[in-house]
Amino acid sequence: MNYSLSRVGSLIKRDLTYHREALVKPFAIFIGLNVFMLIIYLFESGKEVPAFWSNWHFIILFGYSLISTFLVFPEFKDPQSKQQFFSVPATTLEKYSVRWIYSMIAVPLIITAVFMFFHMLFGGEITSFYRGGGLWVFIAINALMFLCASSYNNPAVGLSYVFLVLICLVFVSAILMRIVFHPYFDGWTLSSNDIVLSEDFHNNTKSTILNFVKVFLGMGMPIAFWVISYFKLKEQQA
Amino acid sequence: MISLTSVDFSYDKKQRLIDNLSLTLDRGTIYGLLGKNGTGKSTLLKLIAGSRFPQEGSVVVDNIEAKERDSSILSNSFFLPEDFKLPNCSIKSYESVNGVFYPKYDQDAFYSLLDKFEVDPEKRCKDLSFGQAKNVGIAFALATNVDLLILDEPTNGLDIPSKSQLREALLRGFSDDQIVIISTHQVRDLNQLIESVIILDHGQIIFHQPTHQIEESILFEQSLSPLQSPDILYSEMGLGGYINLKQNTDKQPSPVDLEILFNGVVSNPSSINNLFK
Repeated sequence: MNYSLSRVGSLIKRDLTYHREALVKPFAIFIGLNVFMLIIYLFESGKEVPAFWSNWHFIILFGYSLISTFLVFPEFKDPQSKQQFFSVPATTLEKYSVRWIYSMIAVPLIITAVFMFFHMLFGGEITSFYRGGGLWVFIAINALMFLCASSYNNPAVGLSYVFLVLICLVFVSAILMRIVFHPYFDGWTLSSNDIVLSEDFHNNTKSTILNFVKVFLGMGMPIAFWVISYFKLKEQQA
Repeated sequence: MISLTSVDFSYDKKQRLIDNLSLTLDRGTIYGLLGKNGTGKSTLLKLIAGSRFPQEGSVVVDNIEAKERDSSILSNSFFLPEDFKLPNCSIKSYESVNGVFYPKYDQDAFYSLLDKFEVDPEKRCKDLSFGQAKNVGIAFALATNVDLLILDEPTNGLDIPSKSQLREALLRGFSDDQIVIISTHQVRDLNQLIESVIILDHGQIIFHQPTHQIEESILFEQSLSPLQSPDILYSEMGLGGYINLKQNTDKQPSPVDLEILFNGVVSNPSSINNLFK
């Protein structure tokens, strides 16, 4: 496959030149908000280590990263920019990987680094910063956002489709539940909460199902979304 | 070489914009693509550039399907759209971050052309007028020295000196390895440049002939009053009389008037095409 790292570098340089102003503003707002929180903290007393940055890291990471992933293909807003983007002499994989790096690595890393910096500025331990959990959910949702951004000229439309599919999945799951656990149902409501499950289910099957869900959510779904995103980008027309 | 084979394309299911179109374009030729509004000229250019994909048939550029958007093809071709958009940065930055993608890019040629177009390279792109932005696009397109240059309405928005500069630059920089496709309504601007005329109507090529062949076959004859003769294939009133199209039986020297030719072909395609059989 024709993949050139120097072209990837040139694409990044091109993007930074084209979108410098668009990048500087949200970053300045982000830093400004952190400084504002810092000032508020300085006026407070009695706390040895500020928990703000470790507590809020994940929420901000979700919000900021997902919005930036949502907007990772700004060229798709108008046909001329889109046409010029696809005419840039680089392979679709190179163009794809550059935008993937922004959404999956660069933005989350910058947010984490800034939060970690403020956390440690007040003597917070690096080990106490990350409290675990949620990372795989973040990756899965970010991958879904990336799929929407690469598939549709208007990611909001894409996201609406995705939510529609999710609602359909909920309905299908409900119907399946109704069929499998039919003795416990009265119409569409549970007639009894005492669903008797075997000991074997509690000991083995339950953990197998949970592990499957974790692997599916954490690895299978994001990889599937990324692969589909690539092919969606490849078939985009301007 | 560019080869389009049985290409179909439509934006909606009701009406086919390009219908079973086949066309071959060879190196060393400047093609003029003419057609009325909405006949699919820009779409045809997008199909060649790989921005749009045919629903049926194939578009092949140097043995590679255009829709693959192969980097080797993209780095050796440039499509200048009618509404060329420049980013929010300086002209110098635009040139430096885009020039690296084209192996034969000539930075000196870019600045020399900008100088001829009287555009200050220190300016920011957002401060340029439509015509100046177009000049930057043309200067960049020509400086890439690519083998396939696609220009969609390049003279739209250009002032008179810029049109002359464009003609001169295209002629000076053109080589036998290149294919230049120019889609235009303003045929008089590029009349002397075009070496082969392609006329598109209702999604099909209704006329495709080299200019020298047209000169040999069609006589563009002037008369003060309308001529009533079965030899006249098309007649149009112009300044100082009528221009009549008829067969050039005596092989008289007859410079091609693209506007008259276009009108003649659109109104009477079969009779004019018969002259070339």
